[in-house]
Amino acid sequence: MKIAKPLAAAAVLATTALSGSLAAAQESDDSYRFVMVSHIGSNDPNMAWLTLSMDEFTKRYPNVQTEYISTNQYSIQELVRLLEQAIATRPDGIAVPIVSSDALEGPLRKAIESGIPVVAFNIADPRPKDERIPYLTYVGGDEYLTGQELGKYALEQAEAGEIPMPERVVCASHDSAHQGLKARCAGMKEVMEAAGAEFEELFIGAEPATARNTMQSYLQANPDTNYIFTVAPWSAPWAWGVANDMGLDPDVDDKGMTIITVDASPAALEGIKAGHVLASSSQGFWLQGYAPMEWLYWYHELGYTPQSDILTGPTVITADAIDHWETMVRKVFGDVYDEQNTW
Amino acid sequence: MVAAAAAGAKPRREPPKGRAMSVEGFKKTVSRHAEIGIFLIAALLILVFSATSDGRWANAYNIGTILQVTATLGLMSLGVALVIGTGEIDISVGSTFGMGALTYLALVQQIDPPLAALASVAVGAAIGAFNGLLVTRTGTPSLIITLGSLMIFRGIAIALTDGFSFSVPYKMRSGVMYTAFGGDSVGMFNTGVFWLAAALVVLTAMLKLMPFGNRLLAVGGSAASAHSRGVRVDRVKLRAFILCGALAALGGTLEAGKLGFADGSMGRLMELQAIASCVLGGCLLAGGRISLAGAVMGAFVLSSIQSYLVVMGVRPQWFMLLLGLIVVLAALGDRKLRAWALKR
Repeated sequence: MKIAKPLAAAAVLATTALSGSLAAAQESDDSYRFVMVSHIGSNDPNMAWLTLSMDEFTKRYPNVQTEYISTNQYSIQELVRLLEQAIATRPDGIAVPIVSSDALEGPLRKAIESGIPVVAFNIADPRPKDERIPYLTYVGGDEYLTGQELGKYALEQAEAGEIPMPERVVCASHDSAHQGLKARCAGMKEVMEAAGAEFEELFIGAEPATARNTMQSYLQANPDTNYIFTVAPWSAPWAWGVANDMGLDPDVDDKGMTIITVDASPAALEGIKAGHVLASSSQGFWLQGYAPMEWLYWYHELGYTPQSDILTGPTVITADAIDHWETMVRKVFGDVYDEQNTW
Repeated sequence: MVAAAAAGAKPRREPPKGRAMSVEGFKKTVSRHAEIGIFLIAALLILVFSATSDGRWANAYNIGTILQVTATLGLMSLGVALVIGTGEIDISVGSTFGMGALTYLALVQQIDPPLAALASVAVGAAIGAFNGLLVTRTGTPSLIITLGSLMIFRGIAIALTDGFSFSVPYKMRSGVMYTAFGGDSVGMFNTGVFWLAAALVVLTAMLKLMPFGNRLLAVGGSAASAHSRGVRVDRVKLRAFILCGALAALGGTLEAGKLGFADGSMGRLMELQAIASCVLGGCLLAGGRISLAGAVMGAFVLSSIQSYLVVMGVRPQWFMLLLGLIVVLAALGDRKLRAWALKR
C-alpha cells in the first residue's frame, strides 16, 4: 500500500509521457536546457536507457536541449565536481542521483536557492521529506524494495524446490559508499536473515580481475555461501564465472550456487535466458531518463510540482517473461544488445 | 655553388632592431623559465574557452569551481614537484590524499578543525616518511615503492570505509574554523585556494632562498656529485617525500572539508593528474629542474580543460579521449616552444 500511490503516479506519468498529450505545452516558444548529471557512465550499459530516453524527449519537445554528463569512475568526489560545473552553466533544470546526501546537499541547495529546479533520479535522499534536499521530486526505483522483492522471489522459488534454501548470502557491491547499492543489499538482507540465512556485504570494486579475485577469496573462506546477489548486472557473469571455476554449480537448479542480479540489461536478461541467473529487476530506467525531463518542463511551462515521489520500479524479471523483456530491451539497445551480452 | 647562390641572393633583410631584441629577449625568458610554456598555454586556453563556450565556462561560479579543484590538485602537484626535483617520483599521492580526507572527517566532529587538519597532515607526512625511508634505505626505485604504497593506502582507505563513508551533515558544517579548511568560500574563492597560495609562496621561498632548495635540485641533477660536495642525499630525499605526503594530505583535508564527505575512492587517479601537472609545468622527470608555479599552473590547465568539456556537454565516452588529446597537444606545444627558444 505504501508504494501504491507513487506507482500509480508513475503509471499515469508513463501513460501521459508516451501518449504525447499536453500539446499546448509542446507549442511553447520558450527554449530550455536541462542537464542530467549522472553516476552512470558509458562503461555501464544502463546509460543507454537514459540517453536514449532523453533523445526521445528532445524529439517530442524540440525546444528543449538535454545534456547528459557523467563519469566512468564510481567516485562521489568526481560526481560533485561535475555537478558544480553543470550548475555553473546555469541550466534550466538539473536531474541528479542523490548518491550521498551529505556530499550533494551543499551544491544542490545553492542551485535550488539560485532558482534552478532539481529532480532527483535513480537514488533518492533517504531522509524524511522535511529534512531532505528540497528537490521537486524523486523519479526512480526503490532500491530497498529491489533487494526485498528479489529476495522474496528467491525464497518462493526455494520453497517450491526450484533452487536450494539460502544458507549464506553475499551481496557483491562495486561501490561501498553508494547509498542505493547499500539499500539493495539491505532489502535482500532483511528477507534472507528472516529466512535464517547468514548475510554479508562484499566490496568487489568495478574492475573485473580484482572483483573476480575478491569473490574467489570470499567463497574459499566461506564455503557455505550459496547465493550471490550482484548489485550491478555486469558483475553477474563475473560471479557466475568464479563459482563455475570453483565447481560450485552456479546454474539455476536445486543444488549449488544461485546468482541473482539487478537491472533490465542485456547481461542480466541473457543470464536468465541461459539459466545462469535466477532473476533480475527493472527499475524503469527508461522513465528515469524521460520523466525527470518532463517534470522539469512541466514545472517551467505549467507550474506543476509533484506531491509525491514517483516510483518507476521494481519489477522482478524472471525466466517466465524473459522473451517480452528481451524484445523490449533490444528495441532500446539495438545492435549494442549483443555487444553487451558478456556471457 | 654556395657562393654563387650567395652572390645571386638578395641581401637578407634584417628585422628591425627593437623587434629582434624583443624576440631574443622572449627566447631567453622561455629558455630560462621552464614554466613560461604552461602560462602561455593557459592564456591561450582561457581565450579559446571563453570565446567558444557562450559564457558557460567563463563565469564566476565556474572559475571558482575550477580554482577549488586547482587548489587540491595543486597542493598535491607541489609535493610531487619537490620529489621529482630530487630525481625520484611519488605515485602514492592519490592514496595519501584519500587517507588525509578520511582522517580529517573522522576527527573533525570530535575535535577542532585545526587539530583534525593537523592530524591529517601528520598522517600524510608519516606516509611520506614511509615512502622516503624505504626508497633511501633500500635503494629500491621510488616508482616501485610508491606504486606499492599507492595500493596499500588505497586498500586501507577502502577497508576503513567498508560498508559506510565518513561524512559531516550539511547543517553541522559551519564556523570559521570549519570554513578555513576548505569548508566554504570567501567571495568566489574556496578557502582551499588561499592554502594553495600560501604553500606556493612558502615553498618557493624555501626553494629560492634557503639551502634546502639548492640541495634538492643538486640531488636531482646528480646525486653522486651532490654527495661529493657534502649534501646528505638521503636526508634531502626523505624531506621531499615527507613534504609531498603532508601536502597531499592537506589537499585531501581541504577536499573533505568542502564535500563534507569522504569514501575509499577519494583521490583515485589524482596521482596521474599531479604528475601530468608537474610535467606540463616544466618539471624535468629526471630531476634537477622544477617549477612550483608551473606545476600549479599545470593543475589549473588540467582542471580548466576538464571543466570546459563538462560545460560543453561532452558525453562521457568521448570525455577521456578529448582530455587526453588536449593534454598531449598542450605538452607538444610546450616542447616546441622550448625547442624554439633554445635554438640559436
